[in-house]
Order: sequence, then structure tokens, then C-alpha cells
Amino acid sequence: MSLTPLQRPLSRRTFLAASASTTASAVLLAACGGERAPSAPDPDATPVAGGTLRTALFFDPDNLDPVQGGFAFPVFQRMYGYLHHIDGHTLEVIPDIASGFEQPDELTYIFRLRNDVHFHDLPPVNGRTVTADDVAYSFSRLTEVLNPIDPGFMSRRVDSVTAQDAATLRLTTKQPFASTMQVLGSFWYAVVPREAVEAFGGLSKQGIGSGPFILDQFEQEVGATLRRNPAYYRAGLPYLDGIEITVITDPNNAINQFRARALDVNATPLDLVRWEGLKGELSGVQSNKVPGILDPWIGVNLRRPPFNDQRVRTALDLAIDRRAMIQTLAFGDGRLNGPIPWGNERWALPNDELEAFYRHDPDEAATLLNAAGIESLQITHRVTPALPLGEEIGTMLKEQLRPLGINVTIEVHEQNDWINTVILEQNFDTCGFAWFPVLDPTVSLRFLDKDDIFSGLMFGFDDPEITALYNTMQTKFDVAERYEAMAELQRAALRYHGPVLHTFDSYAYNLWWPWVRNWRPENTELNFYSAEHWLAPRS
Amino acid sequence: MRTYLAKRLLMLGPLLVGVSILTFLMLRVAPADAAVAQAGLGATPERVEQLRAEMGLDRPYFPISFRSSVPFVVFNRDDQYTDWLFDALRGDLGTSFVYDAPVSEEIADRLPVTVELLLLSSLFTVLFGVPAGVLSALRQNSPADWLVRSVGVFGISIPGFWLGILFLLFPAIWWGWAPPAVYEPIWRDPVDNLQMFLLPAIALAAASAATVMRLTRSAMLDVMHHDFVRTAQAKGLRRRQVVIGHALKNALIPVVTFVGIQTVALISGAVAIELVFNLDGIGSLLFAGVFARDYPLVQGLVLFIAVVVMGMNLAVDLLYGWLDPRIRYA
Repeated sequence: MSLTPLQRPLSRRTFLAASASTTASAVLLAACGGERAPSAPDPDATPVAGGTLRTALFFDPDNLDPVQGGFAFPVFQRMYGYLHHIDGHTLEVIPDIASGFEQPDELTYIFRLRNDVHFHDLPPVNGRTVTADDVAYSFSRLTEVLNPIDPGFMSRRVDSVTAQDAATLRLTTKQPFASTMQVLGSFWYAVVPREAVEAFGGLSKQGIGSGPFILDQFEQEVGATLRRNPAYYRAGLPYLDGIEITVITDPNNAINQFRARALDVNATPLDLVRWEGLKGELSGVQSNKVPGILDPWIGVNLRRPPFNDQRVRTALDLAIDRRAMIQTLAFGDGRLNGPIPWGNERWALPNDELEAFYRHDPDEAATLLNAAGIESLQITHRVTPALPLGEEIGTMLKEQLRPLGINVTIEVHEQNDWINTVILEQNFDTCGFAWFPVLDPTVSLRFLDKDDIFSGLMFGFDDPEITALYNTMQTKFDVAERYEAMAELQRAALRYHGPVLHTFDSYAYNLWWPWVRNWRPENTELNFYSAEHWLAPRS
Repeated sequence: MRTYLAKRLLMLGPLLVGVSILTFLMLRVAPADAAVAQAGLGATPERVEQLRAEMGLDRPYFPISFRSSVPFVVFNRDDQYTDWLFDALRGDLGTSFVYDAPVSEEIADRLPVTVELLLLSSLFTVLFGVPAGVLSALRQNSPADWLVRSVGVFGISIPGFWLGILFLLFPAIWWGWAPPAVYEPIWRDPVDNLQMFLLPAIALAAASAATVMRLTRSAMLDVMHHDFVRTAQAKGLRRRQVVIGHALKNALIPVVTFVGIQTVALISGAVAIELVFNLDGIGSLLFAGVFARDYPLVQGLVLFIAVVVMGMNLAVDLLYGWLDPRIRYA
């Protein structure tokens, strides 16, 4: 019986790592911002084939099965083919196994599959062609396994997925669901062969896909090696002969390996202070600055009085000084978060709007508390070190609420204990939480869907109007209309002041040596799919 | 001697059962169980219960339960502990929840790393500790003595993991060098292997080497004032012969036993050192097992470590008697 990374408790390090990597996704959408300045040493250079890229993970990719896994995605994304990917900046569909698709009505999606995509030439599939049956089978696995990142798309939204013939897949949703293409481009929608799943008893340790790289070796807590897929359908790709991914769980060790040039890419995004300390020392290193490494927030238990009173929640929101949090916890190098983290700039509310909304007004907060009949209030804020910044934000919350006569007691729980006694038993007034910003912005909005397990079960969110806005947003296929609907939903959530009180995200700094070409860490999630990295001679 | 050995071996059984019961109980009373750890965020209480049943964690812990009402004692069939114990007696330590592999295989996979780390650390402990202690004793109150003792205080005071972090940091900054991050067995690539183990072994050995140094120093100072040493000197033996052939030989008796025990104690220090240096040994395995509430893995590992510790203690006791003929086993 194996654990799936996102089904089991997260160590702080793991979470930080995963956040950093999935920033990936946030960042992937975020790349439309103008603040990054990726440096390409020689953009016109002709790609050179060969070489092995050496990179690291500072978390354990303990389960390679895409439907269960999350933290292993830097490994398995390179192995598997997908129907398509989505460019987070442009929302352009990047074809992969599906050469095209049509949507005859709001509920139906018909995908045409390429006929030259083959699984890796390994038993038991031995290089056979990928068919629509494989895609249908792969997606159906998501109905059997709990994947906490996935807000139940296959089980709640999809009516059927059928192979009409070997090269045609038909997917119908129960209601119009505008996120469908984006969801299907998510990293857990990999196409896998049924024979391999059955032969290996699951894909947690082994895997066969149709992606640019073939898994040579995988050992939990050690790493993975991948080699070039010579039968990859994109001729001439990948450029690399292979990729070595070493698990180095200590970030200091990882940065030292990078410093010593034993790694080509520093897999640990840095904060401002660490980057400032390193940049003078690492001569010639390439870097970029990307938004949104973490999405820490404060969860409110809406079942417990007085937090079911909107005036009290509004008072809390007004009493929180988020700008002070940014100064203290992100060294001033961050921005305010709304329901969709700002790193996901394609869909997040504009920063100006958030700046205007998040007033720090203790006087008005006191007035609201008086109106709610609250003279003094005791809040138990439960956190776990497994989630980033929980205790730090809790400490600032305690100080900021004290002048209002609100006494915050911070209780720190070991990660499993936190899940068991705090979350499953809903035993908290407020809690420190964090969420992964991923490609599909509606994953961040799932806390506004009252039927979602997180919002309903954990936080007691049950607002029909906001849930209606969530569902309406999913009927907007036009991008502009969808953005407006999503913005309206976010504004409603901010006015509701729950179940999530958002805080901030900081910037992250990625480093790689100049011989690694075509490396764009701002697109980390897409970057892992990419077959186009190449290596110039190491110096 | 044989009687003593037989007695000690007979005691091992009850001790190991005691250790296994304690480990079993401590894991179960720790907040949140393996089902919660496996279900993780986003699971419903129903899902956790279902997992608990699938993993057999809803069964009674022990064959006997006590109640506050009649019947006060309940005998359970199909309890968790007895199942585990009988499997363990047959050599089956169970299957790890996390690694989905037999626990014994996981231990066997990781053991060479920890064994090598402990052996090298013990080697450094002796190589640094004994000569420094002898030097310090022979040059008592000299600058060399002060220097050695100061270094000793430093070694004892600095936590091994902190020293390890410094060992990783400064070579990378000064010379652009870091130890390899991927384990290569010594028979496959001795250079890479030693590069990987050198720094963690020194970091792990620092405290014990300092202790050995102090122990050797005080033992040497004591022995050097004994009559037999004076006699040896009076007989005109060279100083080297007196020190090595007579004084050190006797001074080393407590040191040798300490080194044996210290090798066992190093196992606990190895947990942190393995994490810092990315060594996939027993320590990091135990750490991961505890975090994931991997009951079979932790129980199996603790039992294994207990056997090693008891075996080492017995060996040290026997060695002590062999080194010092005055010791008689009752």
C-alpha cells in the first residue's frame, strides 16, 4: 500500500518544495507579468543534441502515479503524453497527443488523436500506438482515486468519456464547465497504458508513457534517471540524452551542489534575502524572478459563533495588516493575494483593486465588533509546521488583533495530528492553511464551491449565492466573459470574508547555469513537459 | 563465562519483547494514526475509517484488553501485536506502508550506508581521539595540551548536524566543491564513496572523538603515575616503549569499551547527519517512517536497532573482560 504525496500529510519541507514547484503553475500563468527578466545567454544559438541535465528535487517524489501523485510531477511529466497542454500566459492550447479538438456544444468535446504517438518501447506495451481507449481509461482512473488537487472534475463534472474509434475521443460534461480544457491540461491527466497499470500493480514505482523521456530508474528518496525516447513523435526531440533527478531534501545541500556545479539547475527557488546573498558569489549564473511561491492564508471555521457573523469576519479582515506581513515575512518582496493568488495573473484580481480592498482599519473593525456585541474574543488559531508560514502569520495575527481585545492563542500541531484533530474534526476557530496555485485557476476557487470537500466539510462554507457565482463562472466559455465572472466571484468572496482570509505571496528567484539553454523556470510546469531544453558545453 | 553468556542471551528475548511492546504502544498513542497519514488532506472521516479497516488498524492492539466494567479482562483474537510479533519471529517484519515493500528489504537496502557511516565515524573517533588524548596527557599543561583540550571542548559543544552544515557550506563557497549527492557503494566507486562519507563521518565523530580524547587523557594521566610505569622507566626502557607498551595499553581499557558503546550511540546522531548530507541510511528511513506513521517500518527498524544495540553491548562487555583479566563474569 503506498502513500500518495497529496493524500498524506505534508512535511514542511515537502510542502515548501511542492509549493515552490507548483508555483510553477502559478507562475506559469503569471508569466505575463513584466517583472521577470529571464536571461538567455545566446538565444540564437543552434540547439545541440546530447548531454545529461542534472537537476534536483528537494522533496521526495514518492509516487509516480499521475492520478495519485502531485509532488512527483517534475519526474512523471517528462515521461507521459497528455491530450494537450495549456499555455498559462496566452491560454493557447498546445497540442500533444490530440492534434485538435472541436466543441460542438457546451457539453461535448471531441478530440482527434495523432496516429504517430507510441508508448515507450518497453514490455508490456512494446511501443504500441496510443489510442483513444488509452485516454478514456487514463481519465477513468481519476474517478477511483482521491486526488486532493483535483476538485473532482471526473467524478462531479464529467458525464462520460468514450473512445469513438482509435483516434477519436468524446468527452461530455454534466453541465457547461468552462475549465474543462484547462483541467485536461493539468499534470495529473497523463495518458497511461492499461497493460502497464495492471502488470505493475499501479504506477507508483514504474511507468510507461509516450512522452519525450523514458524512465530508466526510480528510487524513492533517491531520485530518478530518464533517458531520451528515440521514438518520440516530434522528430529530433528531445535534445537531451537524459535527465538525472536527485532528491536532495536539505535545501542548503541543494544550493551547495548547485554552487559546486554538480547540478545544472538550482531546483530550490530562493527568497530575496538568500538571492541577494548569493548573486555576487555565483558569477555567470542565470536567474529570473517569478511571482507567487506560496499561498498562505487563514481559514475561518464558519460553523463556530461568532465567525458565522459576517461583521466579525469583516472586523478580522480589517484588523489584519497584510502590508506589515509582506514587510516582515517576505522582506517587502511580495504582493497581496486575492482568492486567486497574484502569481496567477491571468485570472487574479488587479493589484490596485486588492490594494484598495484590503484596508487596515482597526477603528472600523472595533466598531463592527461592537455592533456584533463582541467585547472580547478568544480565538484558537491552529497551525502545523507542515504548511508554510502558518505559525509566523499566526504570530502577526495575534499581535494585530490584540488591540481589539481579541486574544489569539496559537496552537502548533504535528502534521498528522493537525489533519486528524483540527481539520477532520473541524476543531478550530481559525487555522493556518496554504494551497497550491495550479494551472487551472478554479482550483484556487474551490473554497467558494459549497459542495467541494474542502470548503464544505472543513470550513462549513454553505453560501448558495457565491456557489451560484462559481457555477455561473463555469458556464462562460468566452475568455473575457469568464474573466469578468471570475472577478465577480472573487469580489463576492472578498466581501463575504470567508471561509478564507487571504494574505500575500512573495517572489521567488530561480537559478541555472548558462550552459542550460531554453530553460524558462517561469513556466516551470510547462518546462517539465518540454523536450526542447539543451546543453551547451559546461564551463 | 559460558553461563554469563547464556544468561545474557536469555535476557535478550524478554528485552526485545519489551522494546517491541513499547514501540508498538508509543506509535499507537501518538496523535493521528497511519490511516490519517495515508488519507491526508482532503479525506473525509469515512475515508479514514475505511482505510483504517483496510490496514487492519481497527483491530484490538493486544491479545488482552482491560475494561472498567465486567468483564474486566477481555481476550482478543486477531489482535495487531500478536500478528506482528509472530510474523517477526518468522523473520517477516511486514510491509512498509510508505515504500510498499518488505521492511526487511528496506532495511537491507539502507543498512550499508549507515554501517559505513558508523564505521568511518568510529575510525575517526579513535584516530583523532586516542593520539590527541595521549599527546595532551604527555604534555600536560603545555600549550599543546591547552590546544587539544580547547578543540575537545569545541567538538563536544558543537552539534554534529551544525558542523555538517558548515562542512557542506564552506567547501562549496571556497573551492566550489560539494560531496556527491548520490550514493555509490565503496566497491563500485571508492573515490566517490569516500568523498561522500568523509565529511559526514567527521561531523558525526566530532563529539565522540573529543570525549575519547578527554577519556584517554585522564586515563593516561592516571596510569602514568602507577608503579609499573615507574618501574618500566627505572628499568631504562625508552619513553616510547613505556608509553605505548605499558601506559597506553592499560589506559585504553576504558577507552575501548567507551568506543564500543559510543558506536551504538552514534546511531542516533546518524539520523540528523544522514538528513543533512542526503545519505539514504537507516536514520533517514526511521525519520520518514515516524512522520508517515509507517507502523511496520518503525517497529521493524526499532527492533532491528535494539538487536544491534544489545548485541554491541554484549560484545563490549565480553571484550572488557578479555582486555582486563581482573574482570570476572558472574
